[in-house]
Amino acid sequence: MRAMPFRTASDYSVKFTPPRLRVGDALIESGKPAPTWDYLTTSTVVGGVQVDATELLRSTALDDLSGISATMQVDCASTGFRETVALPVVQAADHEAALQLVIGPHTVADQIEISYGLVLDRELEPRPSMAPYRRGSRVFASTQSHRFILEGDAAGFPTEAFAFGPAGLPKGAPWHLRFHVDSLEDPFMGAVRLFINTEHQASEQLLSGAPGLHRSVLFHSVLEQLLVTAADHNQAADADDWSELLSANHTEGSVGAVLSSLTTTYLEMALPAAMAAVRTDRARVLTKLRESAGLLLGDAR
Amino acid sequence: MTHKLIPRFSAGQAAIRLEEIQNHLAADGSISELIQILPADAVPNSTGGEAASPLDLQSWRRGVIEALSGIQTGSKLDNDLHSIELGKALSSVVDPSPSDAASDGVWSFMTLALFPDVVNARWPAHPVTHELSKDRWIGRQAGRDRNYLKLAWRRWQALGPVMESAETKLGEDEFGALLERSAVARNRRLVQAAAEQVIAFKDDGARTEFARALMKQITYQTGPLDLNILTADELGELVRRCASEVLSLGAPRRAVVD
Amino acid sequence: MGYPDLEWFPKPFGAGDTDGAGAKKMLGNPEVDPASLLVREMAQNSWDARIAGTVPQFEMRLRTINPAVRDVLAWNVFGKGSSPNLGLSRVLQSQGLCAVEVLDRGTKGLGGPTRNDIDPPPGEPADYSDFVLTIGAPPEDGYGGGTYGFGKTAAYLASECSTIVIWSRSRRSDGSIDERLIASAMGSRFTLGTQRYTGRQWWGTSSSDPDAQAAFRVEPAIAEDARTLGEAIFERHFESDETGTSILILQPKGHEDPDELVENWAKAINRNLWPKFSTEQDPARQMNIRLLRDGDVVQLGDRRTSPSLAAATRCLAALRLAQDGHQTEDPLVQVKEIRCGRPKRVVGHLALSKFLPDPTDDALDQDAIVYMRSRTELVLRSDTPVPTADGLTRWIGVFKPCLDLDPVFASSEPPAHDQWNPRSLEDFNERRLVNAALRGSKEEGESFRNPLPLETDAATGASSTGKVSVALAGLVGAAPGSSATTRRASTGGGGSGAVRPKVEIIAVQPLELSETDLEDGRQTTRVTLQVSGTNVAVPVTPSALSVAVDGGVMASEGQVMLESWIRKDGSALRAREAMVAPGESISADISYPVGLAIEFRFTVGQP
Repeated sequence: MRAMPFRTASDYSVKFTPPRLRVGDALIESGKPAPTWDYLTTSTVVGGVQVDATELLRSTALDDLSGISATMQVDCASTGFRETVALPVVQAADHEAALQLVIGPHTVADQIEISYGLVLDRELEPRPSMAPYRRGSRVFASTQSHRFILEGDAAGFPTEAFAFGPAGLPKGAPWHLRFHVDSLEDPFMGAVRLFINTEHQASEQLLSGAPGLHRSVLFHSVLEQLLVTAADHNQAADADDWSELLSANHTEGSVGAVLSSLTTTYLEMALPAAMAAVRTDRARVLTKLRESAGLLLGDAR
Repeated sequence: MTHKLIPRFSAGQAAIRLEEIQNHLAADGSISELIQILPADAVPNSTGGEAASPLDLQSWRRGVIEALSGIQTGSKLDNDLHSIELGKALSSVVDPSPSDAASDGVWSFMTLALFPDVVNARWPAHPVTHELSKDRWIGRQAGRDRNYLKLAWRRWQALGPVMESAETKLGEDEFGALLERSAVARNRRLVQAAAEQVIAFKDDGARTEFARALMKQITYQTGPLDLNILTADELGELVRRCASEVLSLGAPRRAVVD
Repeated sequence: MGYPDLEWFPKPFGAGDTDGAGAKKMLGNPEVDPASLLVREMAQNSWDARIAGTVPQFEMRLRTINPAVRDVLAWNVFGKGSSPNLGLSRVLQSQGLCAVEVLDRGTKGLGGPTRNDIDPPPGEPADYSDFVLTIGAPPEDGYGGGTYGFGKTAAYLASECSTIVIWSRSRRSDGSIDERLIASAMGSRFTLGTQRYTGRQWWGTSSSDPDAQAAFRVEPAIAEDARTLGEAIFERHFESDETGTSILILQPKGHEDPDELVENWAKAINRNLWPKFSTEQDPARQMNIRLLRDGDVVQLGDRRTSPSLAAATRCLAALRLAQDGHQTEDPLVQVKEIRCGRPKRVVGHLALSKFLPDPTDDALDQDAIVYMRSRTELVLRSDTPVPTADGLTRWIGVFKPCLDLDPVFASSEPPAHDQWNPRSLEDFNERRLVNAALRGSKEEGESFRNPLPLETDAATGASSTGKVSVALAGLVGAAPGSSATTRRASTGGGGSGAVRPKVEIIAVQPLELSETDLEDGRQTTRVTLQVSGTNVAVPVTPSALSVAVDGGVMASEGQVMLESWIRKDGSALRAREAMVAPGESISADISYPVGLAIEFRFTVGQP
């Protein structure tokens, strides 16, 4: 239990609305993960406050509301980010007023913590009533803080978005996949990267990740390229060695392991067999892939 | 400013690599042989921007090494300067995304692959056990959050402008005192105002003790007061008041124990 | 020495003769650099001489001339004399004598009659006489690269002493091999005694033909003599069945800095001959090109490592398709038809491509249009570079006229084949066609380089990819990542369900400061509490009395202390522990330094 050296607002005098995090068009409840957030995201914490003016003044022994502000503070312990937004409580007397704080790109990571409070934002004279008088006095400090989980252990597909034209890629192409199969033991996340063309009219839909035809086609196309590239690598590499490498056990998260899980899932074949099939019976295997990946069904896996 | 994503090592990769470096050095191997611009097992975050290319990494290395050329390690003064210049160079040359830099894997990569020589210069292996400091080399992935590069960068981020103006550079312990409490350190203006008071403290012999006592006084104030809403002037005034309180108590003459 | 000796044949002035210097001037004032001129003209000759169904070889070999070769040159080839103003003797005696051997194989060699004053019999070539004896003979079909036949002049121009040695093998119509060797120089006029000479001179053998017309008749060394001398002088010999030509250019200009010389040739080969590089194209379009320095192969452009070369190759492939009536499917290339209004027709095609720059890539001139004729596909020229408006990418364009217009464009070329000059054409329509090609290409190139801004407000900055990344997460299997899709917010531990006595805080009240407080710099907060979950009185003690700070607590160092317990009746208990009965309210006065925030907890002990 925490106690201030002055009188503070009672629990009944103020009500804070649990904050929510707006990421794109999604509004995320506190305590929930924000899976679509990334370093480039601008997100907004949206909160609210309402005070019972009479009770607030009674419990704090302050004379009026004019020197009191409601604060919403966003902290990120991982990056050292801290921002506070303040709102005079007169605006929140007997009705809810919104508190909003925008979090820019490249400022936070891992998770953010939101805490509410009321502060005295002017200097007063000390009084026998023990009412707060120093500017900055924590008139009310909510014991509850709210967290949003921005990053976790789950893997998203390595993706970047930019305009292709200026970068020398065909500006009419919606995406480009880079996939190097130098070694099956390399980390998959380093071997692959998807580039989305922000110049393309479909980019918004692709970037939204929303279920639909765009996502379905993208998903299938990426999957197909991964498998075909790996299968064709056989021609570039020493064939015997490559087959042997395909059959080996692969470290979790490696190119080999991910390809293996993809062929098992979508082709129902072990990696070596699947790679051989993609090479020798490509048309049939890719048709099977279109089926198993639910191509054009609009709700890609 | 566009930040480029830095490759990362997982905690496991970092631990293995640290041991390899330790063994290599114990066998009188040269540290420069261990520099690797982009080992295949280092992977940047999957989203959040453009991944640094080998060319970027090369130019980072060149830039930082150039900034540190001529700066020695060994004496306290040299070490202090090394840390400050390193932080400054990382800030200006690498300019990590704060989001990306929150990952300790990023710092392990930079320590173990890109700048092992830089870290080794300041935190070489123990002469008898040949062990490298886990805290200083891979920080929170294996021990305490004290990765040398990360700390140097964070200190520069928090106190860069103040640090430049100091005649006697802030030392390891003074930084420790100023930035020890992360919740307090997040109020950057407050920490900068405190650092100015520390730098202005003339008794060099007791400056570290003064820094500790001052930060304690200031931290006390963060309980009843939300200092984030104060203006810079108000913060300056508050810090000055805390400083005179510390001095009026006769401190600093000895280390203050929390 | 065992080698045959050649004789010297300086050409005396006769009616209509131009001197050797004049012949060299016939190239005009080429805009291209000497390296490009040499490479392009020699390669063009080789290309024109290719044997159908064979990929011709073209090699340039810079080599230091060793003493043995120097002796053969000085004694057996040039031993019988040379014009004093040629500088040949000086060159042959110089310290750093070197030469560049320019050769082709898979080519027909220099066959046909060895004299240019009679027409060859039908079906016989006139390659030897055109190359060795005549200046300015056009190729037979009008589509060859040389067209004016001045290409060989470039070889003389490249030599410090304007002297070359020519060794060639060709096949006669009966299938047998004709092997010839002759040296030739294109010097300035000179006088010996009272006789004036043009400066053109050869080193060969006398004609055995008693034809009185042949007052001046130089023949090459042939057969065994040619082979013996050729193998003594040249680095690259002929395989038994090979035909082709090797030309030794003595003391190439710029030999003082062989590094730069070779670098310039390599650049010139890249810039001019790149259309022949790709081994993936139709063999009929390929030429196997090598540059060597003292036997070591010099690296030439490679489209696998050179983005500019890759882009140019893509453009050329797209152009060929376009001119065969097909569309390219290469998304990286745009093909534009270049039209002429009057006469109304397509004059050619321009293919354009952008690429990401590589600072080490200097294979081609970038940010410019490259012009070439349609059939030969040897680069004529490239425009002055103009970078892309985006400042990020480079671009390249390739223009080829329609095949049927090749002869028109060729006619507009000066002897050095380094530009198309419409004004040099007499036919007005032809002028218009060439003009339209040049203007149209430039305009298309400009709009490609600097397109009109897109009518879109799409963000130009980086975009968040989190959503699509998560949507595709199924493709990364169990690879470790950082997306927040599986981590769950902590749910806290489950309780056992047993009811334990606990303390409830009823009220926290900072007390008004007393005089003593003010003097001591301390103050007191009264915490009122009750116990629940018990039927009997339980001992309650304060624990964790500390100073509260932002984000946590600090040890109180004894400064935060329990002053006393105050019962409801006002009685005070100065003890650490108080027995509290169920339903009873009791207060604890906690004293601490004035103005600080405190943190405290009360715990219930065993009854």
